[in-house]
Amino acid sequence: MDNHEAKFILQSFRPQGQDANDPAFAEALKRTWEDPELARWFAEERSLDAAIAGKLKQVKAPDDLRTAILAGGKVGARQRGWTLRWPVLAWAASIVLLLALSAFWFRGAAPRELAAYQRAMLQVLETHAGLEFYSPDPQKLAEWLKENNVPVSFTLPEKMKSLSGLGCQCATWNGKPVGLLCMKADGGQLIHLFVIRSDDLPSAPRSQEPILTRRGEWTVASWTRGETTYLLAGLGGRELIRKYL
Amino acid sequence: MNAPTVVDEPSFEQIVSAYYEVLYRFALSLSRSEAEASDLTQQTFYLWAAKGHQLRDRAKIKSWLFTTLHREFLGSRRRETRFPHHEMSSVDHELPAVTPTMINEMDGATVMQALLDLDELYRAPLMLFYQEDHSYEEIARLLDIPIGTVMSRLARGKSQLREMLLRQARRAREKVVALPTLGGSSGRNHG
Repeated sequence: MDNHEAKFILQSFRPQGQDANDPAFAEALKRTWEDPELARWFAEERSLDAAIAGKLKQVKAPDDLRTAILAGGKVGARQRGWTLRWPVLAWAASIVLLLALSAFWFRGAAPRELAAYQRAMLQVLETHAGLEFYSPDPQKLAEWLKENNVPVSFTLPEKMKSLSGLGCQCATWNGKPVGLLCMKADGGQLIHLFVIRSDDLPSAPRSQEPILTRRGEWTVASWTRGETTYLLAGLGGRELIRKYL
Repeated sequence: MNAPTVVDEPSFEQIVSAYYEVLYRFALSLSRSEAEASDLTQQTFYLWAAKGHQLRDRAKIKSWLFTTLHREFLGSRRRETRFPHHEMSSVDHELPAVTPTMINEMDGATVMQALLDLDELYRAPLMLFYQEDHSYEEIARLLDIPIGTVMSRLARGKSQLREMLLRQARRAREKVVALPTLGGSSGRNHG
């Protein structure tokens, strides 16, 4: 092994020495003991790698990511299904589940994840098909939705009650009615509130605390209160959405 | 006879706390977008909550999470084939003279941005290497590439990264505030 080969191998050596006992590095490491120039190079390499690693580790995840993950994890855990500690019960439960799924799939399969619902509703916004009813009064928008086959009972968040409405329309999710209200936020930006019966969205968040996430250019917040699941969406950063939660 | 050691299985919250930051940084190196990185990280833990119980060897939780995140990333988009910004016929082990002192003068965001500006081929292996949680063999398994390719990409990636950081350091030093001159003199000679 020459120094060129040794350097090639040693560039994969982690700076804090975690690979010291890895046989793959043994021969290259031995050369550093024998060649002062290689040893100098290796010391500089590790020092630089340690500095870069330290700086990269300073970059933190967004503040609310952990909360969002934990909330989403509760949904995932519920969807895990029956415990496997009791095989007989698990078998029976599997058969029941298969029968239920068969009935569901017969009606028409559809993705159930919350993320799929969010993306589908954002697609409604992005198609710019136009709203069905216009009014500056959010109360009138709510009444129109009820009269037009969106029997979803909902309450506007307090901070949104003073906003001027723009319009609303009906949407659907897996054949279930969804109401969309569009309102003018401060500064002229639009925010969009989707409401659906939480029974119609099996993966609905159970938390009353809104969970924020990004979907492309959109920031969305999802929460459930009573029998209704809300999705508030706006273009731009989280600050716009947080302001009205 | 000693009683068997009972190892408590880590809770979901403990697993999240242990790995969400490093997973986020890995996702960032893949997607180059904070929003997508957050989504990928969330989705990975969602899948863990839903399917993680199927993993029999709990010592492989970390590996499962990183592999799943990488798979989610690949599934979410077409891999773009791009040529590296700097073609090298051979890896130059005499790398540009960026020093630890220069790096220590930078903030983390600057160093991260330099890594994100690299070609996609190098970003993921470099980020995994610098997180220091994965050996080169584990990186190869995780990214599903040969060990030799990992070593090669680390070597080339480091060279590119250091070149970018050196430019960054030089740009920072060139931002010299010109001192006001008095009576047309250079102001250098006093007295």
